[in-house]
Amino acid sequence: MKKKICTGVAVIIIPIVCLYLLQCLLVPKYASDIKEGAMIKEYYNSEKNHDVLILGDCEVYENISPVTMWENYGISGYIRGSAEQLIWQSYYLLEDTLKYEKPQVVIVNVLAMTESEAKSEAYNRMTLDGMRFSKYKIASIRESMTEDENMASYIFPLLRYHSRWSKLSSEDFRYMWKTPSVTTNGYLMQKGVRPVTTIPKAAPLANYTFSDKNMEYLDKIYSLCKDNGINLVLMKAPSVYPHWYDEWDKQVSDYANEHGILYLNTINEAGNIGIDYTTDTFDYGQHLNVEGAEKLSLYLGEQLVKNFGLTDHRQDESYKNVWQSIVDKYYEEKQGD
Amino acid sequence: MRKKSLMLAAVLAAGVMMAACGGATTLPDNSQDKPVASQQTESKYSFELKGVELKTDGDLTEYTSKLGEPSGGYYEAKSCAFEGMDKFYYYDSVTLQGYQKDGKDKLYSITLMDDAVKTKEGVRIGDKKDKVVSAYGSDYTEADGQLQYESGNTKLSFVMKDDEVQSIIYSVK
Repeated sequence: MKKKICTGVAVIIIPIVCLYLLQCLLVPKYASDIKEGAMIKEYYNSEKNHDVLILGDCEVYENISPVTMWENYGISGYIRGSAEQLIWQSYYLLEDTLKYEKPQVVIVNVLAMTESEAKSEAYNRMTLDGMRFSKYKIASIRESMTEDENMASYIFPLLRYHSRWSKLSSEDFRYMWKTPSVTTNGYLMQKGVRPVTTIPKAAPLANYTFSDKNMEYLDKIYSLCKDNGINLVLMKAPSVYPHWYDEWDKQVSDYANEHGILYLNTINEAGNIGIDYTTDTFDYGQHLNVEGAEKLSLYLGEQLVKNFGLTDHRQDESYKNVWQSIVDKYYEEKQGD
Repeated sequence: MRKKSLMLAAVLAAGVMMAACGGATTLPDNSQDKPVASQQTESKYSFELKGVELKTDGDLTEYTSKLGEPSGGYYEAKSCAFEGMDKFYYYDSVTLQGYQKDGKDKLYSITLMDDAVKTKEGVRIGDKKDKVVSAYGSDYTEADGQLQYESGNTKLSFVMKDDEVQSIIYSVK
């Protein structure tokens, strides 16, 4: 009888283990190429003691340096950013984060308010695959899926990636169990310089009104922050492209005024912040390089301390060691090739 | 008995894998970020700039070499995470946007920016809806404040505000 039970268990367990191992091997690792795909997952390995959580698309993970905010203000910050992160994805990432910690401030970049639907599976995958399984992940998938996607392939990624076997590289074997960290607390460093030589022109749009769905999720973010005693900050990162229309700015500004929250439009502040688009951008003014990100982070840190009186943790032993290793990694990357 | 069980386990594993097999590609990419023009009948919509006839999905390199240096400059915009650039050429009153298709630069869109230029059918920014309909007919869709006409691989959009044309865009359908 005992033997029969063991055999029965083996019949179930062996295929599951085999499939799990295959999945570990076949899912993309995003270690050296398209690093943006690895960022969401990285958060779970971090120390969960952040004062500030930053949510949004490439306008946060390439523009804000948590190390600069730490070094100058003792602010412990983390960026849960991902490529083309949509506003409902930010909301579910906030829900997900609150399972682990409760920051004092949440910053949301508002460019996502202009995108009313998911662009492609590729971007969805980079935000959703990295989330740990939870009801928030399921909800985010449900809201994000494009026509050709299905829930099962998100829950069992092997269904999506099984045909990668012919494209496997040494990286897939090396990082089968643990992928390397590609960011510094969510910041993806860019060191090149491609100056702005042309300011792109903007054509009028037919409709400037943010979609109902986006407004609904902005409300949800606001309510979730309020219910948890978190200060919400809306931010528009500095950039020359894509164009940030006055009509969009007014909607965000009105929302912030009506709800009594801080809105930082850093496009208008770029000059005061010291951003020089001939030296501080790596892609003609769409995003900042590390020099620009440090300038923006100095400004952000100042605003956060001024508006919310965040505590300086630089002399706090419980933070010092963790942050020292983060700072070391940052400078190693900054000074490297 | 044990052998049979192990074989059954292997068959089960293979079965699940087979069931999983769909038509999925190996790794998501952003190749569908923009619609890629399919082989269709030739569009009846084109735009003429400095004597050069421009068609969506046409050879951008050929167009820009004929048109010369864009007076308002050139801008490249990278998409988040992926390689590949959207290219913008700012000519007087007209912006051309390029995209990559099969490794070649193709014309993605033509945007008329002011009333100094007009379509081949004679519509310009500032005209009323009646004039658009009279020039292009009533076979249009109206969505999100735009009148849209389609032909071949081209979508022609008239962005409207208060019954007036605000901008005119030819783009890949």
